[in-house]
Amino acid sequence: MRDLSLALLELASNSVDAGAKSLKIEIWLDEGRVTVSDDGAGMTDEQLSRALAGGYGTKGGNGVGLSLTKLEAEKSGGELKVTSKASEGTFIALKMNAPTGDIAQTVATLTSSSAKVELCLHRAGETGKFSFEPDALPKEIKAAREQINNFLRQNKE
Amino acid sequence: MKKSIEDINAIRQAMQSTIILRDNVDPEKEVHIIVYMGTCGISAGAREVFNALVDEIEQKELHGVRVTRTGCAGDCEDEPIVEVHVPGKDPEVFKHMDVNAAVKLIEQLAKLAK
Repeated sequence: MRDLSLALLELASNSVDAGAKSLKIEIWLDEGRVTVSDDGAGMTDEQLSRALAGGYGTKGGNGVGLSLTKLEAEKSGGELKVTSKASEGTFIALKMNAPTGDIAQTVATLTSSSAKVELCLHRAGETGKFSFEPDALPKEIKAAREQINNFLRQNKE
Repeated sequence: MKKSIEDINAIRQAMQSTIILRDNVDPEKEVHIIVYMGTCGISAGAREVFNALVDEIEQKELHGVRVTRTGCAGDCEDEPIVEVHVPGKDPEVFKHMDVNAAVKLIEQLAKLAK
């Protein structure tokens, strides 16, 4: 993945596909760090180690997402840590030395899913909190994007 | 300038009012656009395609169109892939989508709506 926002989309998509109803995303913009916690299906220890090893697809794909993201993170000098409990949910912490990318595009995209998305943006001692209802329509997806971008712009001034 | 709680609440209220609009759309008449967004799709630019679709739908003020994402379609070499479901018609699949193609797709849908 080229940047942090794309890696986040990768990780949070997994949460949604695991049936999460609630998705909490926290991003430390100055540190290239992001955490995702969900209340999805979770994984057993065995499932998790297979997912991190790669080639463990459960959704018709090739099951490369998590392992590739881990590889990218480590290659950049960062890391990817996952803790998960079957039928309870998953928590992921990613640190990647890469450009931030377009966080607003990523989060807006996630609002089209069946999970409620809660976003916390940390930057230079300031925190922005956002909450988006599930199953957003185009209008709401666009509004979500503008809301996040407004915060990012104002924060820069 | 920092965003106050009041500002954020105002935005939230504005967004909530749009949720009521959605309830009025008959799901049987809804056009559904699915963007494949597995690892392959994301790397190929599916997120940008997704948001271009959303922007164009807003620009054209189309109602009753839903855009959602899904995982890998198994045809990674054809990503980004977009599937369009128009009620009463067979689903159509578009391969190798980009932002320009997304804009054209919505233009076609807008014509169909007229």
